[in-house]
Order: sequence, then structure tokens, then C-alpha cells
Amino acid sequence: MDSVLRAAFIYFFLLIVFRIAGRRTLSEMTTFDFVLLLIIGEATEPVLLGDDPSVIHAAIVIITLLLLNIAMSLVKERFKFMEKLMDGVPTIIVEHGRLMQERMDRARVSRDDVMEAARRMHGIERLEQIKYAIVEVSGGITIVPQAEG
Amino acid sequence: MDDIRHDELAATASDNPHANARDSSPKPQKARSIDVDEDIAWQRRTWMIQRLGWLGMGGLVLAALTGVFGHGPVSWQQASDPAGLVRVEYERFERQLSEHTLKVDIAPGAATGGAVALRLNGAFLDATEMKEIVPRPQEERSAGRDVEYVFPVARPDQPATVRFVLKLKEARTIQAEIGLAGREPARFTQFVYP
Repeated sequence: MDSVLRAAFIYFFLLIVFRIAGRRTLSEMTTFDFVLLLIIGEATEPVLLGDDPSVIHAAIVIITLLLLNIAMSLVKERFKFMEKLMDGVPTIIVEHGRLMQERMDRARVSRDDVMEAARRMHGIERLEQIKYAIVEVSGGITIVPQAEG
Repeated sequence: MDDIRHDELAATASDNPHANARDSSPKPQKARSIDVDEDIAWQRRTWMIQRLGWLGMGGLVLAALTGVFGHGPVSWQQASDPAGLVRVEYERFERQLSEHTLKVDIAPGAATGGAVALRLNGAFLDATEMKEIVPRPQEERSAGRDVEYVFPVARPDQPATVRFVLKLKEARTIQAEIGLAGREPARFTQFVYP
């Protein structure tokens, strides 16, 4: 019982904390972000396993976590509201070559980030060539180029 | 500025190209051709809650530094018995299963016959897992629900210190009573976080 409750607590705790931290935090993975993620994993491990290294305990914890994840995906599927609550919504930050500065500040996206994504995806050179830039739910930036002509 | 009513939009299939027709943007000349399931009102609320969440996280870290979650200045406490013969250094806030040391200072003159007997109450012992006692008691005896530990004292005219290395097993409030056998004990309360 204890291990199931612990796994569930950690699952929802991490869900909330990472939602609060915001999507930019770990989406653009730098080397340090990756290291940080490993450390967070290390900090979580003893809580999940404690001083019981038995196979059955590990199996219970893993199955609980996976089952919770499946359950949450079903809930998201069923209730759009829950999906918005847990994943957020995409946000348009560039419209017809015009930066929406206030939104970008809030989303912690800089002009450089937008231009980098534009170069990477479409070889775009100037801001005016961008029709839309969108911060996706996953945290990445999607660029829609201006139609030629 | 471009508050889009998306509840209904979200309810419909988002890949419906006509869904945008209902996008009541205040700037109709800029009606978006792009079908993005945007909800800027929701997003703004999210940003605001995130800011509050950051403040909350900062507050938690500061609180942790003071020791309200244990292992800090707020948590370090002392308790004495009414006679002033025993002083216990304990943590007001402890954490479940974290190993720590309870220090008991015994005033000179408390020892009788080269030994001093410390009594720990049963409720406290129920909640603890004793890892080590320094110095080792020469005798441990049951006194009802309580347990008396008898320690040899080399210099009865000097203060003596006994250290209990222990873990608290249960996450709850624990009432502890530690004192000399046959005297009023020092009483203190510990809260154990899970």
C-alpha cells in the first residue's frame, strides 16, 4: 500500500511542480538541464524505493507509475479541460512578422529563440519571412513561413 | 487583445478548417488562417499561476532554510526537566526514517553510585528505532511501558552526555519524556514529516 501511495504522490507532485516551472524549463534541453533531470531522478529514487530493494517493490512502483500515466492520458482524452490543465495550450508569439513581445516575455522566449527555430526549420533569414511562430505544448517553437510572393 | 473563445473550438475537432470562422478576433482583417488551438486567456491565467507558483517555491526554499522542515535553527530546541538536572537537545521537526542524534546532558551530581539511570517513555520508544546509544548502557530495564537505561559514570562531579542515535519510524506528532529515573522528566514534542 505504502509503495503505491508514494509512487502516486511523486507522480502528482512532479506533475504539478513541472507545470508550475513552465514549459520552457526543460523543453530546450541544454547539457545542464539534462544533468538536472538526472539529479531530480536521483532525489526521487529513495522516496520511491526506500530501504526495500526487493523485485516485487520495484515492480509495484513501476507498474503504478505507468498505470497512472495511462490513466491520465485517458482522462486527458476524455476531458479537454484536463488536457489544458496538465499540458497547457499553444501560444502564438509571432504574427505576420510582428513579434508579440508581451507574450514572448511571459513565455520566456526571446527573438533569438524564434529566429533560431526559423533558421533551423525553414532557413528563414529575416523576421518578416515568418508568418506565425507558435510555442507548442511540448515547449518547442513551430515556425510557419510567409507564403512566397 | 485577441481573446479567442476556445471552449467551443476545443470541443470540436481541432483539425476542422472551418473552426476558425468562429474565431471572433477583435481584428477581423487579421483573421488567422492558421488553425491553432490557442486560448490566450487560459494561457495568461497559466502564466499568472506559474508566477505565483515560483513565489511559492521560493517561499518553500526559504522556509526550508529556517528549518521548519527540520534540520535548521527553528527546529533546534532544548528541553529541561523541572529540576534542571537533564537537558535534552532535540529537533522540533524531524523527518521520517532520517537518522539523527538526540543529545542528553546530565548535570553533575545526578549520578548515584557511579551510575545514572535515564528513563525514556514508551510512546516515544514505540515511534523510534534505536540505532545506537553512546555510551552503551550497562543495563536496560523495563519500567512499565517505559525503559530505563543505566549508564556508568566515571566522574560523578562532571556533567555527562548521552547520545541516542535513532530514527523516527512514524510520520506524526510524538510526545517524548526523558528524565532521571524517579524524577519528573523533560517533556518535548516532535513533529515527524513523512
